[in-house]
Amino acid sequence: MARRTSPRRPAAAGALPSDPELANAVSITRELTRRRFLARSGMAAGAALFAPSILAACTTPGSNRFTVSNWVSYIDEDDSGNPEGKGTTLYEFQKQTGIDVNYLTDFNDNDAYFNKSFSPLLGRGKTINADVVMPTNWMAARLIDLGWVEELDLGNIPNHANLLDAYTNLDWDPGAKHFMPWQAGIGGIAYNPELTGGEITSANDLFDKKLKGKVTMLTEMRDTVGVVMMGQGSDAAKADPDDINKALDEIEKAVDDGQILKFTGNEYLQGLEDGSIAACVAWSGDIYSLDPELGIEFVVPDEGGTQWFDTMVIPKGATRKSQGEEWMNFVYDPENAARITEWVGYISPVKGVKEVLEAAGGDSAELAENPLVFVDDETQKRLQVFGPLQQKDEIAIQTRFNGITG
Amino acid sequence: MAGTANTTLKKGKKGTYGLLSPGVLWLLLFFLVPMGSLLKIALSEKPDPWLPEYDFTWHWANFSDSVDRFGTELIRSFTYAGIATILCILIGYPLAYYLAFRAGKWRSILLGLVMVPFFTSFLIRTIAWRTILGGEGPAVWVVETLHLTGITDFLHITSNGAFLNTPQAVIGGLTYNFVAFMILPIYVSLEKIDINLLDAARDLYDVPANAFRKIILPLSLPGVFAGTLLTFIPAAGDYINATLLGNVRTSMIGSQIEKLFLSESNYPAAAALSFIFMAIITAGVLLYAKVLGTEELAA
Repeated sequence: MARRTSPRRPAAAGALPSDPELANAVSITRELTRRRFLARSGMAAGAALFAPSILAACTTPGSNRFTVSNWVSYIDEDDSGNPEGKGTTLYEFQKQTGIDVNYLTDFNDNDAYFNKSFSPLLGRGKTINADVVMPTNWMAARLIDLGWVEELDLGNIPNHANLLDAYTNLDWDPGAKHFMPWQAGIGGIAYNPELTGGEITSANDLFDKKLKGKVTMLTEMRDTVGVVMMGQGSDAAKADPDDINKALDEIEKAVDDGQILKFTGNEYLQGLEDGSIAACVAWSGDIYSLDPELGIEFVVPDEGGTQWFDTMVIPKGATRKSQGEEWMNFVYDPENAARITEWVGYISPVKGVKEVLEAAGGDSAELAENPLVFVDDETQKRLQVFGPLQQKDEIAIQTRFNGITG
Repeated sequence: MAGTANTTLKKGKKGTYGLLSPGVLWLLLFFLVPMGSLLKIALSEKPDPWLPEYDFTWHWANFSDSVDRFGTELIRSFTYAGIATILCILIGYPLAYYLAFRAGKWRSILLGLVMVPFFTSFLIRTIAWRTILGGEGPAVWVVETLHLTGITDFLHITSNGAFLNTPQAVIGGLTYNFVAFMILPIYVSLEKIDINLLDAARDLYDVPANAFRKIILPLSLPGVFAGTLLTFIPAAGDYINATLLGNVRTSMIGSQIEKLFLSESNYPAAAALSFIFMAIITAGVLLYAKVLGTEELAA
């Protein structure tokens, strides 16, 4: 997902190696998460900035191997950081199915991938060099709408039954016949209680004059606008352009007043660590990866937060569709899904993952209790997936947002 | 000097074109052809932003719209790059001078040190500045410990006691990242100067300041010119420094072009903006060459 995984911007900032002693002090789970974070931010930043994917996407001739294109550091790795090392999900998949996987981590930005790969190739009826790609929910909806995604043969995916009910009845794909979610996360507010001088409970606290010049928001329009909209009492799920523009008015005014320092990818993490940011719109998984000793808190505001998820889809004309379905089936086995969850620390869309983790005991069981990974019902009620936008509205809103974020 | 060079070239004109052809071919294939296609897109419309189809309609409005929308960023890019270039000259010239005339046996080591930062990637070096300038970093600590915040604010080195996320940090980052491209060309032109010229000046009872002004400075101008181009052009187009070290009001033109391409799917506007940017730079370079005089350049 765009967010944490991969700073669409030089997000690497947050990635600067932290004090090794601190790293040792945190639990094993945290260490894993931390390492994932370091790897991801560094690599993703490089990828995002120097965009090797533009070449990868346009010039690589069709590979003879089954190809998965994922975000950086978004699947379990072995101790040496190899995602295909012994015991990893990719290793097990290849061993059990005999399918040779070409695993790429070149999906580093929804819009960028769309403009470099989906639109120029799929839009001209050509195929892209991947059999499974992982766009975020709104991008998946756009691709399905454009007819650039293959319909899944659910007969090949018995584990489709393990998909949580929340995903099976979405307006843009009833029955989830074209996509399967990969991981999900929350957009909310992170803050440093020492700097805010108390708890933050509302999105409107971000506009508190006390925090002037110490607030940041995300360059990801849907999360920033969604959180502010809900603070204004609007529904992010409805995505009414008037409501969105009202939220943009407030954001714009805050920028003019000097309230907002800047708009960031996940480099806000470093700002939280070094005290230049008191409060910001943030992604749950990022905060989960921070050293708990820093005391940074993450809240879903009382008025609500955004929920997003990344999907697995098979692009139109993919040569290895059935292998893609076999892959989806494999990662929807709760055992396999739990192994991925344990490593990436996101919200799993697969039924039964919590039970697997609880049964495993130790750190895994602790993870099963983590409210940012297994969201409780009360919190879930306050989460909204940002609604669909008409093309002209989306362009107009994104353009206005880009003008505000500088 | 220029004269002699020209006479030798005239003798073998055919040979000269032969030697030029790989370069010309390169420019044709990898510069002119892409430029043509860029210009075509800049004059097109994209009826459906999601689809890869363009209508070539001589849509000049792309250009005026871009200037209207991104005028601030254009001006800001050239201002930041201009200030950074001047700072690079102020830092780079004395350093190059020292390297060329005073460093003695240390010269190669010091020259090597100028290059050492390039062993690390541009991105990493810039990110490192976030740590140095950040709220908990050494720069803020020193200023606060010595209670100099009022003075640094007054001198506009800091804004409200902060180094990071300010225009000053962006300009500082640009200066830091490109100063080596200023030092090296100036060094090369200084190093070529015949030291006997200075001895001659002294023999004629000239004062050192005059010798510098009348001999060294003019002879080193080609280096300053080359250094300025190598610094100003990439600095104006850079947006990593602005993104990492700046704030919401420091974005430069590069990131706007990127956003148009990748976030708004507006290829025509992005192409038009790129063209405007290049046109301004080209015009600026030609003007600069004219002012500095082309004869020195031939040297």
